[in-house]
Amino acid sequence: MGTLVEMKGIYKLFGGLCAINNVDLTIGKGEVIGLVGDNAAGKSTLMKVLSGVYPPTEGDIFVEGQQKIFKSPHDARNVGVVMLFQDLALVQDLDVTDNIFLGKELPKRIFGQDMRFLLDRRTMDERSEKFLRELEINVDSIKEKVKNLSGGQRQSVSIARTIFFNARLVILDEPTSAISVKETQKVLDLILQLKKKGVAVIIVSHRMEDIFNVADRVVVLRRGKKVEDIEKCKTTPELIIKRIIGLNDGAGCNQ
Amino acid sequence: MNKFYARFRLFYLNNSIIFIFIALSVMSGILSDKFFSVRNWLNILNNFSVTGIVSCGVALVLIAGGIDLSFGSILACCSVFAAFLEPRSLFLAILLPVLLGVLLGLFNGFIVAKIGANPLITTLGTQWLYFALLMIVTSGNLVQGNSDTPFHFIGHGKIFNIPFPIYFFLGIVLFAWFLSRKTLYGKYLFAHGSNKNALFCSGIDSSHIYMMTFAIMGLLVGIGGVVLSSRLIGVRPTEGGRYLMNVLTAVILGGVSLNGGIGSLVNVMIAVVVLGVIDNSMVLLGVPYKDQQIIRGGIFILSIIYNNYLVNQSEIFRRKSVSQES
Repeated sequence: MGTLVEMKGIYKLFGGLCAINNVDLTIGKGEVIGLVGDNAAGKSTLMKVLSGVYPPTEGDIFVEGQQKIFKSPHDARNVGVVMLFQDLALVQDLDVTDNIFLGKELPKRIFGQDMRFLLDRRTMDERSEKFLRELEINVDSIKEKVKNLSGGQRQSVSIARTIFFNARLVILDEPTSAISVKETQKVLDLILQLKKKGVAVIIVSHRMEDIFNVADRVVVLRRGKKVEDIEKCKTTPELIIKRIIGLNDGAGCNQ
Repeated sequence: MNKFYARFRLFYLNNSIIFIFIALSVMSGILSDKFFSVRNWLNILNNFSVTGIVSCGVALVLIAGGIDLSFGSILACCSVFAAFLEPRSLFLAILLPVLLGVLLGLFNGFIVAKIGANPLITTLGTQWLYFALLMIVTSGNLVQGNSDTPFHFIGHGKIFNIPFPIYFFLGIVLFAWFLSRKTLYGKYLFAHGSNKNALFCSGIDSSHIYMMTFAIMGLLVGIGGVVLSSRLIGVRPTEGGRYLMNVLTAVILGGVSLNGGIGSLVNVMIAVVVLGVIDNSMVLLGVPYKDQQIIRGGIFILSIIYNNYLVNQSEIFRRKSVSQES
C-alpha cells in the first residue's frame, strides 16, 4: 500500500493556544484510519488543516510525494482530499441529486453548446439514481429533500458525494454519532466500500466499536500531540481508551 | 403514516396559500356579485402589479438568507428618476432607472455579502440614506411627467384588452421562477439560504451569488419603479413607503422562510393576488380607509404568525415522517 498523504511537523496555533503540536501523520492508499481523542484533543483541527479549512501555522502536507498548500477546501478537493463535516456537508433544503452534484453541476446542452448557467436536471437525476443504486443506498426518491431523509440516509448521501467527486481521501467527522444502530452498519459498510475502491478514509469518532469495526490503524491525539499510532490488530479498545485519557498502560507509544 | 395523507399534508404545508386564495375568493364572491367579473380580476392584477414585481425581488433576497428593507426607497428613487427623464427621452426613462435600481441593490449587496454586515441593519440604514438623498434632490416635491407620451403606455396601455402592467407582472414572475428553479444561480441561491457552509465546503464562493441577488432585486424594483412612474405620471419621493407593508406581507404570506432556503415565486405571486382580493373586497364592501389600514396591519402580523406556524408544522411533520421510516 503506497503512501497517499503525508503530514509532517504540523503545528496549529490560535493566538497563544497550541491546538496541534508537531504532529506527523501518514495515510496509505485505501487505508482506513480511526482518529480518536478526548474533547479538545485537536482531532477536528488537524483534519481541518488537512482539508484546507485552516492553513497550518507550521508544517508541510504532501500528496503522493508532492508538497501541497491548501488555501481553501476547494484546493484540497482538487487533489482528492474531502472532509465531511457533521451536518455541514449537505444542503438540507435541496434534493438528493442537487446535493450529489453540488459544485459539479452538469450544464444543459443546447444546439451542441454547454449552457453553463442552465442545469441538465434530467441527466443529473438519471446519473445520481444509478450511482446510488450501485452503492446500495436506498432513498425513496432522488427528488426528496435531504432534510426529509433519516440521519443514516443523509450520511450515506454525503459519503456517496465524495465518491462521486473522485475523492482519494475522505475524512468523516463523527459519521455515526446521530444515527440508529441499523443505519450505523449501513454507513460502516459504505466506508468498507470506499476502501475497496481504493479510497483512503479517516474516521474521527468517539465510538470505539465503529473504529475497530472498519479501521486498519488507530491514531490517538491528546492535547494536540499524537500519542499513539498503531495497527488495529496490535491493540484493543481498552488500551486505546487508556491512551486517550493518558493512563500509562505500557502500550507501544510512538511518541 | 398513510402515504397519500403524508403527501397531501406536505403539499398543504408547502402551498397553503392556494387554499387561502380559493377560500377567500369564494367568500368575496358570495359577499359581492361583481367580484368574479373579468373586469374586477384585471383590476386586482393591475393594481397589484408593482407590488408583485417588487415582491419577486424581495423574495429572492429572503430565499438567499438575507433581507432588504430598502426596496421602498429604491422604488421611490427609480420611479422619481423615471418621471424626471420621461420628458427628455423614452429610452433613457426606461433604461436608467432600472440601472439605478441595480446599482443601489448592488451597493446593499456589496456591504452585506462582501463586507459581511448584517442585512437587516445595513438595509435599514441604506433605506434612510437613499430616501434622504432623494428628498435632497427633489426638495420633497412631486416630480411631474407627461401623460400623453409613449411612456404613459407602460402603466396605462392595454394589449388584447389586458392592462400592460399585468404582462410585466406575469413576465417578471416567470423570469424570477425560471431563475430560481432552472438555473445554476437558482440552485446556489437556495443553497446559500439553507446552508452556506456546505457551499464553502464544496469549494463554491457563494458571496458573489448573494451579492448578485441584491442586484437582481434592485433590477426588479427598478422595473417596478418604471411601471409605477408611468402609472402615476407625477411621482412623490414618499411613494415607495406605501409598498413596504404590502410587499413584505406578500412575501411572508407566500411562505418564503425568514431563515432562508425555502420559498416559491409562484406562491408569492398567489399571495400578491390574495392581498389584491382582500383590498378589492374592502373597497367593494365600502370599508373606510382608516379601517383598511388597521386590517392591513393585522394581516401583516397574521402572516408572520402564519409563516412561523408553517415552518413549525413542516418541521414536526418532517420529524414524524423520518422517525417512522428509520
